[in-house]
Amino acid sequence: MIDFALFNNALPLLAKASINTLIIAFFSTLIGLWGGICIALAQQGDSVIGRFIAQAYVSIVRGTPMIVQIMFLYSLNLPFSPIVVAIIAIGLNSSAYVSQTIKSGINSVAKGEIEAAIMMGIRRRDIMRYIILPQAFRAIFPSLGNEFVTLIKDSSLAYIIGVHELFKESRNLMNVTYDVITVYVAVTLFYLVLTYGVTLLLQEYEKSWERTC
Amino acid sequence: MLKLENLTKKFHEKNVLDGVNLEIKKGEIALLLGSSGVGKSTLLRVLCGLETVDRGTITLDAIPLSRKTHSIGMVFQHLNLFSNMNVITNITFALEKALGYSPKTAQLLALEFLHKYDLADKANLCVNKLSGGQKQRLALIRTLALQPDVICFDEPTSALDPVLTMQVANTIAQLAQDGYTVIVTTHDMSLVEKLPCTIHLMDKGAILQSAQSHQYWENQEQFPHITRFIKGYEREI
Repeated sequence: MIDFALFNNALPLLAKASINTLIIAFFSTLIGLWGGICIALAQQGDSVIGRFIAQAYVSIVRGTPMIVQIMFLYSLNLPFSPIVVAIIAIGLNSSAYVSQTIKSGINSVAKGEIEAAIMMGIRRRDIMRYIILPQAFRAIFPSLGNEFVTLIKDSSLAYIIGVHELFKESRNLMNVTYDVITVYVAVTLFYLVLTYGVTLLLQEYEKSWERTC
Repeated sequence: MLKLENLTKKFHEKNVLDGVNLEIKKGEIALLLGSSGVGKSTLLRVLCGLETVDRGTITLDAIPLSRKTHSIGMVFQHLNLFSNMNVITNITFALEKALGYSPKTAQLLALEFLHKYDLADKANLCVNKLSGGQKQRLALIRTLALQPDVICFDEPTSALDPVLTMQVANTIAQLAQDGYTVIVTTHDMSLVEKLPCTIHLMDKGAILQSAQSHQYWENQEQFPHITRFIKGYEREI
């Protein structure tokens, strides 16, 4: 069933391609996080137009498949390489989901602490930066970690625009060897190691927070 | 002198404050008594700028309160310490961001207060590692550090044992001696007994009756509303 010789030969190639997978997931998460913060703030802001645009963005992005969004962005012929287009598309998609997580994180911060800061005359910007966001970020860190893990898996969609990531490499191997089972077992193991490894790292990082405020 | 004139506030067609008139002298302790929902906490929130009034004026030494920043401090019922900061940062953060102090000056001032209130050895602890009494002192320090003229306490002893209640009463009395104007809302009758204060009984958003505490204890019949409230409260307990 499994060709172990092919399996061993495939590993270095898949390992090299998994670097692109991690790059896509990492930078998409960053875009998703910053975009998510901006959308969450707009949704909770005073501007009606800002709230409308943010809500429309979230509805459109969450209501359409990611593969369509990647293809749409790619079809715009932006002056970027396919991997950058994939990062932007996946990041923008993630921002719509992350914004809702951040919104719930912001709402979880004790209102009393915010009132105490307002009463002291601390500016809204400083309250957001030093009180609300740090606490919200801590509350939603497990969800953000899950989002990163999800994006590792979602990055496989970048193969559709020719990005040389883990799934694309596996497709290339299949086309050359015609051994679908062996290559799929190898690529499945790679995704598992990546997602499980990242989950463990994130859990350790979360534990280190227990020693701080 | 802190002067509240005809403060009125409606909320959902209900008068939460219905023409509150109150004068509190510098160095005086004003104790606001009353059942839940009579407007005590709303009155404090108005003083602190967390709520607005529909009508009425508040002046401090004849100057509208809106023109005097940081003149009112508040120790909240649930203390509302910044839970993502350690003890000293809870104090320095406000000093730096609200008063514009340099980090070094803020640090020195915070340490001075922490020494005075016996919390210096806890300076770098997270606030959730403090006991109830220590948190209470930290909340007071954070308020005092901003150098207010008036300090409000919202139910300061609601979660404290008798020993800590006594400490809080002593602290409040000391603050008044130091020249602060102190306003306290409470359900705790032991505070009424311990503090030399002016008692103001609130009902339906207004001050129903006022009395100097020593006058009240000398002649309770003269203040029937306050007596009825205190006796009724003691019976319930």
